[in-house]
Amino acid sequence: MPRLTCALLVSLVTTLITQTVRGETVPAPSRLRWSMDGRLGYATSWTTGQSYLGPATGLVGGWTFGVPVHVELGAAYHVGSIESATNDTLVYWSRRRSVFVHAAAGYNRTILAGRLLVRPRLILGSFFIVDEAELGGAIREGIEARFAFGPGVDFLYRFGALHAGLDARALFVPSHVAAPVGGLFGVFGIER
Amino acid sequence: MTRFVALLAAVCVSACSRSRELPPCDASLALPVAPKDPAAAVIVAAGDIAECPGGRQEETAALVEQIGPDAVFTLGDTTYPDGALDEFLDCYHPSWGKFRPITRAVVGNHEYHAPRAGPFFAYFCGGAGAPFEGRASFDIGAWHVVMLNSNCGGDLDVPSSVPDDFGGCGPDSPQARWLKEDLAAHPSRCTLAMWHHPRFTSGEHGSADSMRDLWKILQDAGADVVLAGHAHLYERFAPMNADGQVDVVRGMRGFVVGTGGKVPLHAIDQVHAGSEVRNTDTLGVLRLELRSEGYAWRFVPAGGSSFTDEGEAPCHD
Repeated sequence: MPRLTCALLVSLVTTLITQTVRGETVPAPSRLRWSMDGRLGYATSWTTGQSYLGPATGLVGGWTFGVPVHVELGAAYHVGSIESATNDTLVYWSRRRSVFVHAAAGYNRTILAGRLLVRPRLILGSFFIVDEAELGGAIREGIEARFAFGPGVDFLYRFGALHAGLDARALFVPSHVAAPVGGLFGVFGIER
Repeated sequence: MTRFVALLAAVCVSACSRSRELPPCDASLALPVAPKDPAAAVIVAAGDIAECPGGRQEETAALVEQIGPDAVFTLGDTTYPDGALDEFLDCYHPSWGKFRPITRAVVGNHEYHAPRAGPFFAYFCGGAGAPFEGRASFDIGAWHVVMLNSNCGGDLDVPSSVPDDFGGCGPDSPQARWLKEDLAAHPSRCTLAMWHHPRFTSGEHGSADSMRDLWKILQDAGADVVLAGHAHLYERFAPMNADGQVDVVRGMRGFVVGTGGKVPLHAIDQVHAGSEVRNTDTLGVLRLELRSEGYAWRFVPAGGSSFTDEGEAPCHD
């Protein structure tokens, strides 16, 4: 966890220094712009428990103001994991998966003549974790919400109205199972 | 493209699903327990047991082996930190697993870090009661023993959806109705109940007010002894009523035995009314001799510690 956070901060600081040294300006959008991204990636948490994260796919919609402050709303589905165990008389099976719904606010910085967008942001959201288990013919399932927050950063390369890049995030989950979450996503989207 | 998707799916399935082999379910795991001497059944009780690495479950398992009990009662938080399948099979099983055929286990809050405490119920087969319910009763010698699920409230470090699995702990809950019916059907002179969260403790986690109604039902039925864990310490109470007052006539004597191997032990928050003996620096197990008309207890310490606590008392008339 500290390693990931450190890497994010180093990336952010490097970007800002590079931009300052090169004297690049931030082309502020003249009006409100919107964007829509698809995301595909992987997340994990620092716990020995059964994972509710793993491979994930999601959708994020955002708005960038002239400032240029960016706000977004998004949701991601995490495939989670399946565990099973058997002996001669018992079959046990469990599945855990989750949906992460979030809002975020960030600040757009561009380098490479506006081609590369770096967007540090603060994410607030909630995991909705679905548990299912089956043992000896009995089945139970439940859903639990876990609040999460933390820093994230987008690195997006622009091709006209399209962009592609990476979304890295580190989330803190202050619940009874307080294991931090790290995630890395590929981003593909459009901005108008 | 189709090959890429198939490859991605294969990688995902192999990365996201795992399977383990469970040890066989011994036939003796079916309740009840048959002691060697029905007039003096010996049981060992402890909760908060195994953690790998760092736990001292091997030391407490050696104590159990030395005592050679008729039955072992585990009082929840059997493995740390998450009650995961791997923790049961790779950490608990190599130490306390040798007693599994004679173990009767109540479910703790850490077991619910895994989906619906599934690994706990799978590992203990029938020794933890019906799957996902966490309640059962059986006889051992002259005693009737009741196992309850205390994972009922947000103040107990329990996910909010857990009580839905078994109906909670309220006065009209399925568990309360079951308890009343069970006690009415087994009018034993001596009754012992066990669950994870202590109704009364001086430990830093605090007392479980959500167990008040079930305590009252047991008290009204004349039950004698309640075992719990959760607080990582040893504590013995005078006979108490559901409202937390010493009641030597109808009250039940509580033992908190969260000393099964998990370290560190907890500090005392504030000494609770009725607390007679407390210890916060000694791991160990509680040896109980369940006699025809009473019981004798002895705390057996691990690691060469000199702390102990022993005594005896009759059952309610």
